[in-house]
Amino acid sequence: MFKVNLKKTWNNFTIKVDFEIPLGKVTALFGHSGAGKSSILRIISGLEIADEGMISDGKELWYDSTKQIHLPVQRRSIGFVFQDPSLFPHLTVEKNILYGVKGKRSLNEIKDLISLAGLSGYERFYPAQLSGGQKQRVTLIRALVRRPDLLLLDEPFSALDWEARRQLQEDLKRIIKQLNVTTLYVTHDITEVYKLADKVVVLESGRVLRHGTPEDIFMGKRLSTRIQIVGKVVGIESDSIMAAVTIMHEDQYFKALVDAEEIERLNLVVGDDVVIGAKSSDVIIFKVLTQF
Amino acid sequence: MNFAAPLLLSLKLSLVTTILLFIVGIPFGYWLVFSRIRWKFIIESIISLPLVLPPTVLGFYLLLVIGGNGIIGRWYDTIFNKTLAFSFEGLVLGSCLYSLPFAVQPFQASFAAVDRKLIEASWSLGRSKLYTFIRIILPLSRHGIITGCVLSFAHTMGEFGVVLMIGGNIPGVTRVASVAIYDEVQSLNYGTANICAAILLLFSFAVLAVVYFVNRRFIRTL
Repeated sequence: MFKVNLKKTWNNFTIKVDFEIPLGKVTALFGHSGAGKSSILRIISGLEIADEGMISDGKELWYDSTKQIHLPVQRRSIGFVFQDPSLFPHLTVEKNILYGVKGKRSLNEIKDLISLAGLSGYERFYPAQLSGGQKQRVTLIRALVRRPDLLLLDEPFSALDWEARRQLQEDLKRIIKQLNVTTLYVTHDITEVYKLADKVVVLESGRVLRHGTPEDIFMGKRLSTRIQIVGKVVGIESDSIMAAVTIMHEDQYFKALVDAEEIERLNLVVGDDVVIGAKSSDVIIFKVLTQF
Repeated sequence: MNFAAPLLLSLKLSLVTTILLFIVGIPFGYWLVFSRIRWKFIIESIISLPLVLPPTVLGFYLLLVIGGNGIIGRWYDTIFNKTLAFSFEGLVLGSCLYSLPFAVQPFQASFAAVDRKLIEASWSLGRSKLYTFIRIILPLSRHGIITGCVLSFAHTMGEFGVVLMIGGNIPGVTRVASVAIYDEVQSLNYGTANICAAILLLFSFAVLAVVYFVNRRFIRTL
């Protein structure tokens, strides 16, 4: 278990957080812009130094202000994927991936990783020849090839278009699960939290507001739901009794009929991120007929 | 008049100066970009002085320091048993100081232009600052490094004031091309001076054109 307890003050802004990152799980650091998410990631990585506190990977102290310990970034077992692809433009995909590898590594293992990220055949390409999604895949594999104890992802999909983002989310989920790597993931996208995270730490103005499973955090309580769809409200048609809420989930639209009072209670407006939940007993399945 | 000797001396001086400035200027430029020392601006100002200072002023103070009674001059005399002023080595020292900003400033600008994220990415991949500098910062700064070297070379080729002050006009030792042209003009040998000046002009232009052409191809392949 990684333990993070740190405090850092800039001119008018203070981060003061205390949370844990379970091993082998994906923890999302969720919050709006300016909440301090990226700064926390940079401090954990060692690229910035906290004013006080402690960061530990469970076995070794990475930072401890009282003991004056500060492991430099080079000595922390991390993989860092930044918001924008940070590939070295003068190196090929293969050389980028192998950049951080010290000593001999099995060629098969590296080939497997390249293949896992769907990059086979691109080894001799330069970053400028790749799409945004491919670049981020290379960055991810480059970070993972060192087998880091902690993978830090700073909104890695924010610069991508919707289709590339969706594809990469799926790939990331698959890769992280297969390699069983402990991950701290910064995002302000609730859909991504639901898709990827086992645990959420909600940040606001540099403080931890809540932490728990995505269901605990965003639905207020643990529901016995079996089906959950995360999406964005794109339309609300309402009369005094009922309201039809149109929700976009990936490339599909869903319409949910709810009490008009519920809309008022939730203060729901177009643009909100929402979760539609349904109990398994309420779900009816129809078989799609292909021949009539 | 044989113009080959002064031209060859100018070439030798430019080459040695450029190599030395490359070796000294790269760590200097790096330090100026990445050091967080508060009084860095003083060092930057000192390095940039030759840009605004009349060459005779720089030459005069250099002569005081490297002359027979100067601190460096005396020290040099004790160790090598010869004077530093009015020698080729003295010219090299003067040229290095005079062309320092022409090397350091382009190096510094190109190091500063390397995306900070790439440097941090390299560190986060476990690579040291030295390794990052050699594998990432240097290759990505090659445009600025080539520019700095070309400017140093060209600037030293055309150097006159400092050379005359600290080197004088000793044939085969300190008589560089620009001083030779000045000599010919003083002797009213305009024809010879014209030929010498034209050779220097064409040579300088050719060097610059070739290097900028190569540099442009480098950038394209990046």
